[in-house]
Amino acid sequence: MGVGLRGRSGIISLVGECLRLEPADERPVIMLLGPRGSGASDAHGALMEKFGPETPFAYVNLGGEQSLPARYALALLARQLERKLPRYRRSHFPRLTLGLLASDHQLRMTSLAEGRRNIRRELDAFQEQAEARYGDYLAAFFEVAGGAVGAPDGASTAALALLRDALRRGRRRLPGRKFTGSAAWYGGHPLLQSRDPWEALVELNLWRHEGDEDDQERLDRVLISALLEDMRSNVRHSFMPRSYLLMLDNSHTEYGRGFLDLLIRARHDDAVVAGADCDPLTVVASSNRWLPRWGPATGDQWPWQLRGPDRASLTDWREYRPGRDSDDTWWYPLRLRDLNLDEVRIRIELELRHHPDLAPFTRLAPFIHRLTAGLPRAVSQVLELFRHSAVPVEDGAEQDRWLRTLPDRTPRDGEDPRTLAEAALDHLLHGFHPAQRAALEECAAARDLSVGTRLLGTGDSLFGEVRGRWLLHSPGTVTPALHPWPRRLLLWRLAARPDDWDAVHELLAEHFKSEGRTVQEMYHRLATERIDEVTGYLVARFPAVPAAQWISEFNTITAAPNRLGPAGGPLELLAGLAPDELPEAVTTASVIRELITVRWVWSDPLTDPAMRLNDMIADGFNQLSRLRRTDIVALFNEAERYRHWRHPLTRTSEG
Amino acid sequence: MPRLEWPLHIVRRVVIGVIVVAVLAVAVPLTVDWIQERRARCGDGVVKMGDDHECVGVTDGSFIFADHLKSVEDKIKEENDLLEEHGEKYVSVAYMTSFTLTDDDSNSEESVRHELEGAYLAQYRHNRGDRSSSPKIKLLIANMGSVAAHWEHTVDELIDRKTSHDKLVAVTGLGPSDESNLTALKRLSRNGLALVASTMTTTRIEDPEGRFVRVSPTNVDEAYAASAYLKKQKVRTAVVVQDDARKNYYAKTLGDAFTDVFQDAKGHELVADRMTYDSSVRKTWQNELQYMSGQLCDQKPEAVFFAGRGKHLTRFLDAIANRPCQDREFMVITGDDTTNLTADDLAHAAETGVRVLYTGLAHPDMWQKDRDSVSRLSARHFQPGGSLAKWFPDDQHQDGQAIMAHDAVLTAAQGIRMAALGDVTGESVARMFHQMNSGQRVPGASGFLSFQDNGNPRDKVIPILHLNAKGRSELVEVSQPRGEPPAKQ
Repeated sequence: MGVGLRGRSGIISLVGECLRLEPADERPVIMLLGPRGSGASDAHGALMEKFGPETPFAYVNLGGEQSLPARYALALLARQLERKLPRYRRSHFPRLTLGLLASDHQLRMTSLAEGRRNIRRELDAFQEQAEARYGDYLAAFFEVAGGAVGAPDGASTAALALLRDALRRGRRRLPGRKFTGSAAWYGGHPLLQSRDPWEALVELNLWRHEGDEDDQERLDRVLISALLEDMRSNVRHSFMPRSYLLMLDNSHTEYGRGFLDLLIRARHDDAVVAGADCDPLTVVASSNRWLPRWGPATGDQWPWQLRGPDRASLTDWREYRPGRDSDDTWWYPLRLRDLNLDEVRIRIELELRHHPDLAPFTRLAPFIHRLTAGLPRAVSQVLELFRHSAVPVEDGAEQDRWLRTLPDRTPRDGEDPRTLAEAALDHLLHGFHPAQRAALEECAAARDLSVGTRLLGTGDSLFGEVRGRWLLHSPGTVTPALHPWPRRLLLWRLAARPDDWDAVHELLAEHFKSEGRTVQEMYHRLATERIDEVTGYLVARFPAVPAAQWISEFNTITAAPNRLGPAGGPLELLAGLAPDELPEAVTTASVIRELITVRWVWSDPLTDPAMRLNDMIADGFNQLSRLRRTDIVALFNEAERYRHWRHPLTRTSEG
Repeated sequence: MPRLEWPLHIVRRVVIGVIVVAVLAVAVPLTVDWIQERRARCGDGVVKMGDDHECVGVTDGSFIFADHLKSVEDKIKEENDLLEEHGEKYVSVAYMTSFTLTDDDSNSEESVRHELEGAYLAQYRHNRGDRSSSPKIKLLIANMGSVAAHWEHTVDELIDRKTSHDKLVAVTGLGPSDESNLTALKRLSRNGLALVASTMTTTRIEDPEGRFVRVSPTNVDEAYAASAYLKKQKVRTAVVVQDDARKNYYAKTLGDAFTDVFQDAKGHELVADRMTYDSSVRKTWQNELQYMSGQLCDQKPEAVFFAGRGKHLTRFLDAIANRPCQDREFMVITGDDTTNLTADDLAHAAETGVRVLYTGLAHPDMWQKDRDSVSRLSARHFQPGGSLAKWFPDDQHQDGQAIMAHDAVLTAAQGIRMAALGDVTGESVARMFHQMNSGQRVPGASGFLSFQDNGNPRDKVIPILHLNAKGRSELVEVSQPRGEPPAKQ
């Protein structure tokens, strides 16, 4: 299993299940959903590596710069599925090939009857020309659409070798001249008016070259139907696979959505409407966006609830799939989750095999996890930066100071001159224009992005765009917060604009003050370093509310972002936050003030990468427990928690 | 039909494996057989047999059994090939004897070569010579190996040729009169082949099928001729020296017949009991012969009738040459096997100074002595300047073996010609043997041949030969068997 699929084993087993089903059994269209960098491409690479050696597969990247109409995509994937595997006979797609041929060049004819007479001769001529030039007809499509079959990001060497094998050129002629049998299929297709096979092919040609948009769409529907029929026909024979694996990367693009629509519709028409066997295609598509056909991005009107990849299985799909009458029944949406701490740690260890120079940084797994929240690509980017930077390898103050400005670091010898923050944001926010990005930097100040976008005047469209790109953390939670990694980077960028930082947080603080949500108000006050104000609030609350509630409010407020100076480790930063005049005696206020500053610095992995302030926080809670007569267990427990700190597997609100 | 989901590459390997195993299972035994056959094979129809890997079997002349036979085998091959080339209708006649000889054989290389030369002459005459007729004869050469040890293989091979494209109808030659050859004879006869013996002289040959004839006189006839000659020369006393080997029918019948016929009321007597030696006891027979010279000095016979093989005769003559009574002359008279001796053997025998006479089977000079008893046309081929002398100028043919073989094949040829009015088969040819009377007699070089019911030639003249000082046989006279004159032509 590739490093990219750590934490995705459910996907592997699900695809394995689908490939083992009987040819005519129903299979889901597995959708891997998540923001850019959530590991969908890695998953494609891992699936290729796992199943490629023994299963015919096709990989098409629909997110390339190049447009990829359905006919090209069909030709590309058919060409890959024709790959000869040792355990199976070679698959052929004569109906699709004939359909593509028939609709390729415009036929020279003055009447339907003439077209009917000429078409066989012309088809032969087309095919011979293509074979003379490219080896076989389908290979010709590589000339115009070859860019869409590049290897997925992060694909292993083994996966690359398999893909190269699938794409290798060579003469793969149609076995004999099977035009007649395939043409007969077109003659019986319900979308075509002509019952005569050759006239039906002429009709296809007319749709392509003289038809309107509807005709073009009908043509694509017929072609995909031909592909599925070819597959059904193939798998009926002995020594043929039970299923074909199709991997569609970046299927949220215009052409990707179009292709998925065609696929779902063709499958539904065949398997439900016409009552025929389901096609034997196992589809794994990835999307960085919510697809419009699913309704509003809130998901309210889509019968599906996103499923996690860990427990993905056919049983799970069958249990949750909507009724068969709806074409939504074919989807199986899996929300790719972030990596947990253990997975990050294992990933680093796996990377060590190829990059032993990462060995000193295995200790930094908790830091990386806190920083990135486990977004797979972010973890990779940070590790890549470590590999190519002069980061101090010894744990200590020097390393802390180096990590303090990690987002502004650039790889020492990399080709990419961008800082980590720039590179990561460019990838994550690909497609956002600069104004949206600037607005997002400000909106990111709000824990609740919807509040930020509303207050800062960017409107719902930006929020919808972010939500549609799966950039909200933990979908389904009450607070629609931006994913911690992009938020941290956006705030890092906002911190470079101190006035805007202060203004945005002031605005947000005032908003929450007006709404009476003081804890949120204090969160933003602290962001602007109004420590005394925050101290006053928490000192007042200390005797007023139960300790547990106080701790909760304290944690929420001290999770506030900061724009502390770029120099110095946690203790130096802390020193800069000390009151101008040291208190003469230890009071509740002095203890709480210190605890606020310590926790605030601690909660940002960039200010306290190694969590060196744990003991200070523990001491603070201990002191607080001594200053309170009742209800001190919660405080004591909190002190213990920091003293014997154990990183949570998944990110919580502390940072 | 259910789908098969086994991995294709494994299925292919298994199928290919099964096919390979099946092919090997068939090919390996075939190859082993082929190699064994190649190893055991000397040529078409000729295989190696026995510890000495002797090449035995049947050939049309394409395989040379021995170097000395090459010239005659080549001619036979040429003649046979000519038949095929011209698409002539033919049947086959085999000449069978032991062509690969060792010290254990009574025949010499010269004698068997002469036989084959005579056989070839008869084939030539029948196919495109003075007796040309149809169907033609393909002459096959059948070797039974030394002492006919592998007669069974050769006989089986001949029987197979009966139904092959060779269409074998008759087997001639048949070797000397020993047990193997007689058994072979019976088996061939049972399988419907016509048989003509050339030099087989043993008296009692039983062929219940009636398909056997011989062109040679019997031993009894020879003994009668010898006796008659001795009596004519006024020899009154004689002694019989006889080989007592169990399988030597030639010696036994010869000795018995002479004993019976020589003694009479007119004073002819055998002055001693039969003196015997046993040639089957390898190490002692020479000693036995050695001791006989002393006994002969004591018995003082005028003549000694030697009933044994020619090769034993030379030893016997050596013994007599060293006899204690050097002042006493002996005349030794013996049977036709002397003709099997080589020129060297005969020269050696002549050196002993003992007067040696023998009854031959035939002699080229017979025609000159008695022009009525043999066919002039046939005899002419054996004269100086005749066909044999032209074809094989280095060979002398005084031994009569060529004549006998010629007459045997000529008899078969005449049978074929006579049977040609109907189907030519072994059976029909054999039947013709019994029709060879008066005008149909075979004009042999050893005499005009017709046959009794038992297959023996009727009224066959016998040459009395004398071994001269040069070791060559001279015709002394032509004797009438049993004192009766031969029928005139």
